[in-house]
Amino acid sequence: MCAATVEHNGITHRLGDEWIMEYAAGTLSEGEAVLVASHMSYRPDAARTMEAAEAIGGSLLEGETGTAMAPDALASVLSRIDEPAPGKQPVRPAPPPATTDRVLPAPLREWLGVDDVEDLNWSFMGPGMKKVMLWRGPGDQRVWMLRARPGTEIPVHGHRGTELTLVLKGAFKDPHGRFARGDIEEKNEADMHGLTIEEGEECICLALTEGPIRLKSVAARLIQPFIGL
Amino acid sequence: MDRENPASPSSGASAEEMAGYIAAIVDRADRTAFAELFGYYAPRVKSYLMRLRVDEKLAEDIAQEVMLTVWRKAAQYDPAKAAVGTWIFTIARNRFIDRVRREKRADLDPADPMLIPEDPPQADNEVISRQTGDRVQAALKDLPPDQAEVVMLSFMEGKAHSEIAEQLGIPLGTVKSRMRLAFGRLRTALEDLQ
Repeated sequence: MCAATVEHNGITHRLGDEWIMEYAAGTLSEGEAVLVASHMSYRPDAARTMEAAEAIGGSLLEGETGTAMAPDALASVLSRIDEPAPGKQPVRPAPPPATTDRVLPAPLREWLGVDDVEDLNWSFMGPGMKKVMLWRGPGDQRVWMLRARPGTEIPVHGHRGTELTLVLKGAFKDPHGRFARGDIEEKNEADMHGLTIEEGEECICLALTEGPIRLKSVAARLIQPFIGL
Repeated sequence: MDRENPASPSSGASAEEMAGYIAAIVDRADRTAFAELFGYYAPRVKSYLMRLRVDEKLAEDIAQEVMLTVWRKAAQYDPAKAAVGTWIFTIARNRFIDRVRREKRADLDPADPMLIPEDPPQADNEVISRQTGDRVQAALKDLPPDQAEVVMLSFMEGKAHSEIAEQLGIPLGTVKSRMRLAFGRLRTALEDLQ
């Protein structure tokens, strides 16, 4: 689903448009929406693409025939408008200075209520790896983060349902290519894959998985109860 | 998709009128302008919420809240970015997620400095966004029925793609590809504007 088109800011693997549409429609699960909004933070076409997707909703809203409001609805809303005029404000607040080197993208920071990766409660996941569980939702979906040292090999594994992996820092390689900051990989049920963290820099990823991961090797399966994934 | 609606602002002039009402709220707290917006959008928002299977009483309540937000956040409406209907759709959608699904929505922040604009801002962005609404509406009407159906189920009935697949008895991959095809058509319709 990740179109392999090279963007000028380096994003190679993008999420398919159907995800953007589903985000705009508001039907993604909370965890899926976190992944989509975070990925879009790295995409130069984010605003334009999101506007086009939301315009579908706007257009369909215009086309609604409408259901009569309560007779006193307008009066009731007007009575709650007791404050002074909203007044003119700048459409966008001035952006905070030089934050482009932050690891966590804005939607993720805001959703977590956390500013920096160091503020998260990382725990052991395996040799060279740490993880933090962020959310569990319907269908046993989980949003979590992986932090791995350069050169770490992540054993071959699979999942039930869809797996999304967004790179926030560093890069990894797997049989589908090289994934760096802002890139997202979508994998489906049948896809067993292992990955290698690139040398030189640690790698931090935001992941969405459904159900527990399925490890291929017996040795890896033995430690699974202790890593909690 | 093709519903009779004589009141629909399908002409650029009406979309412009709607944007004018928002400007009147911002400039002079104009309650008459607000009443116009309310009369047009509140019943539509209520319909949308009822399609999302919200009961009528709560739909009424949320529609009123949405319109109150329109008043309070009028200054944040950017006519260069979206048609008024699109802006109100996003407010209604977010309010539904917040109040009915009780979830915290991860919001894409357009002020995020990490977002590098693709194109330099254009002088006639406002004209473009007004035309966008018309183009999208026309393109939606022209969609093949199988694409129109999945778009409608997703945006107006709030069905997840997996639920749509189940309801229509087709593979999830087919729902996704119909969505992408529909979006591709809209994009093409918008291309010569941008």
